[in-house]
Amino acid sequence: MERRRVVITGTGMVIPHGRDVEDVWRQIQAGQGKLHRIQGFDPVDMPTQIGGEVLYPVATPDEVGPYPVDSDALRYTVASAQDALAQAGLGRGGDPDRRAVMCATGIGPASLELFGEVAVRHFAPEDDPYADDLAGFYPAMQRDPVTEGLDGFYLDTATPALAVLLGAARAYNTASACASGSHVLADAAQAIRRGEVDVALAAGVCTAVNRAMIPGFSVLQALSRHNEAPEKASRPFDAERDGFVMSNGASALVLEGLDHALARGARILGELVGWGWSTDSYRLTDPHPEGVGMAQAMGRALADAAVDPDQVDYINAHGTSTAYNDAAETLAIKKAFGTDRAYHVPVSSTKSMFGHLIHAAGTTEAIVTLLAMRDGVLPPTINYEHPDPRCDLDYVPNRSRRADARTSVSNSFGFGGQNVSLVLKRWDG
Amino acid sequence: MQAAALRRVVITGIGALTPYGLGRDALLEGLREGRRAVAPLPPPLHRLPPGYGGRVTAEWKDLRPLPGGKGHRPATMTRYTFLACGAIGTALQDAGIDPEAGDPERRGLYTGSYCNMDSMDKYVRFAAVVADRDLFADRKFRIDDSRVMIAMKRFTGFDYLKLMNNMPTAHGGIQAGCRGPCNTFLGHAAAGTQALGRAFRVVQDDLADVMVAGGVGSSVHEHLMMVKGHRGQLSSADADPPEASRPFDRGATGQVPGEAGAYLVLEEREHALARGARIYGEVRGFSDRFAPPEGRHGVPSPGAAVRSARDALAEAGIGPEALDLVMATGLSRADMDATEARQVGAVLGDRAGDVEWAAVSPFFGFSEAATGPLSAAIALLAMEAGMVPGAPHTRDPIPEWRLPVRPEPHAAAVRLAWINTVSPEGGCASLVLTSA
Repeated sequence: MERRRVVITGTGMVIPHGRDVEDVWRQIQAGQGKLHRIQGFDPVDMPTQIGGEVLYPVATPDEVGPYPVDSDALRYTVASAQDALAQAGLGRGGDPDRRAVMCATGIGPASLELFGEVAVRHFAPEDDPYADDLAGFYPAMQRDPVTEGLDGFYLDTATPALAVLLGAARAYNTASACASGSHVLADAAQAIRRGEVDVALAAGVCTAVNRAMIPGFSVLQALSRHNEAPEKASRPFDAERDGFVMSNGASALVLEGLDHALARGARILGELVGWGWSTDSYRLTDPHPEGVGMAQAMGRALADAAVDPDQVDYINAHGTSTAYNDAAETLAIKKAFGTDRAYHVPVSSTKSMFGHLIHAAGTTEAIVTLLAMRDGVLPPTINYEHPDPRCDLDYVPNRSRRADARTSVSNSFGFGGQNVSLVLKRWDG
Repeated sequence: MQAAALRRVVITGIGALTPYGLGRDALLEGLREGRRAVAPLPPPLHRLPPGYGGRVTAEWKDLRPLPGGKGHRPATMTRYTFLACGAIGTALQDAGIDPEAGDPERRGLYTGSYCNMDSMDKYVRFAAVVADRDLFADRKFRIDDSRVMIAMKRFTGFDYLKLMNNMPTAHGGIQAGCRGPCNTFLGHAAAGTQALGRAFRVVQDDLADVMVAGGVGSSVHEHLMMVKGHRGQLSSADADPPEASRPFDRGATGQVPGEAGAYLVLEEREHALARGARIYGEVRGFSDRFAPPEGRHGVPSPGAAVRSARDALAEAGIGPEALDLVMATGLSRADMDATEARQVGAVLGDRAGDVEWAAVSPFFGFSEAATGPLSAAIALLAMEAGMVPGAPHTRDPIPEWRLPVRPEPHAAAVRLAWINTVSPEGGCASLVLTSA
């Protein structure tokens, strides 16, 4: 039986470059980075003082169904989903059981302000907060009004809000760290291919540029410390790379069964033809040094798509700008594509321009990959200045390049060793 | 659309870390005895109403002898990861799976989890250090950015890394030697059932031969207890702890905090037979849905959950007349119990008056995303032992609850079971299991 084909009919994003997908794409083609010294707070004394923030107002409704849109995470997610649905020409309606939302949200606790409200109620300024056990304040806190907001620490309302926007009766939230965005795309596509649903909204969001996560990930030595030149700090595959640059943002894609999209006359933006999952089962913070899991994900995605490595015209790399990832990904591409072919496939990391959007990385990069194929322009890896002998592929350095790209791979690899690769095709009608 | 090609999925291992102890034998023994594990909480949680809950007492050292258990580094793990590692280790042991043998690329791990939190004290203290001193005396909070790195001196990178929501899966995947699909499903009670159901699909679709799947949850946590208590959703501090969780009972006063981890080993049937594995049962149907709650802290209407259950039964090719056991969520919250009761009644129709049922919560309290996998484990043990644990505290059922109430563990032949998980946040999932 012929497999059901999965196409993309809507895209939306809120990232440091802007909210208008076409305008963002023009900036990316021009190799314009948007990373800067952090402005949302003063990163004084922090080892890492740079990031990518959304420094423009993002208009959204005040609430979606029963969910207040009251945080940056909600605003970015709702806005990107609204834009994706508008482009797809979809709103509420149809059979809710045939619509799904798969969303990747949250990187962990970041509600420092809420805990601050708790802290100033319990301590005096001169107290050593580490000298006291906090048990005494528990009962009082349970009655305190500030407690009402503490579920913002863990409760995901982005996924349900998107379900309300789409009118979907299927929704779930998954987490596989930096692979999450591609994971939800693969999950959504799998549900459509299986015939469980006709339409799926896949989205990811990251708001980790904050006072907790920036120093925290810096302590992990995952973040770049090129504070003197923020726009040059994200330098994937370059010999002087020293870590990734964290960014805030969200993005969303509307996926549909081809039959469903054609039947309603939707404009098709591209096709998701294959996907592959794997796990390193190695270490929490480092990828397998030989890129074993990464290669498996790519190999499985190509096999699932029935695409030969020779047919792949472009790879949008995970390319985080960390020493380990970029070297391992280079090795993995050689394993998955064969060394000869690997040297001839253009590979670029657009994280060099918008940084690492963590849970939204995979969804954002899938949109960029679709646009690259649509316009025949491969986005560059900017800040590529010093070749690293361990990273010796064609990284489309510094300038975008015209190319007739019909088939592309987009990679996402996460802390904890979870890997997802997608195979996308240009839609030629 | 791919029904002709679907592979059959059996269950070959049951793993659990519960207030009864570690492993399936502890679970079965506790259920046979009808033991209630809800008890007064140790300090400092005892200060937080209701002051009691179902708490796991096993320790890290108890996990060391389990498969993959030697590599655990507790400092890098949260309570959620601890619960996952214990349950995963016992599931592997029960299934006879050596993490270092077999084909790791055909083995994966799915986890359902509500969140992944560490001690709340840590964050409150961090906030106290970074608070602007000029406003502190007025009990107003503003962050003084120059103090953030002072506060950071108490933290290591792992203090952050361990909080990522995929960490129970990441640690579990290393423990179980999984290089196949691994993912984490975030949500309340339904998330663990979704992890099982999605793992079922992975094996059906030939993406793996073995999936370790389940869920973890700890609502015996100061943060969750504060929020739920603040909203009046927890049981009364005046209740007798062992009898506080009273699903579908008029006397229910709210949910009882609990914690657990539970994982099953799902395996392609021919793969299991080829290695001579013991087969507990088979997954026959799965479906999940979402419906937003009515109001911010309301509950969803039961329609989506009804459709989820009917889809799962239809996939299994059975009607309600064939069911022998319903494993209900039974949150012991009046609003949710009424919703679930209406849903179960609508699905069972005329059968409602004579189907066996049970819920986990009277024994352990509510363990969030572990609820579905624990319910599935109990259903499988009921099939094997010919024993249903009963509903010890449902003495005066709410009018919407039409199923017969038998308080004691009792003999019953169980061949077909429906695992029903519903949550106030709106997620719901159903799983249908048959005996081997």
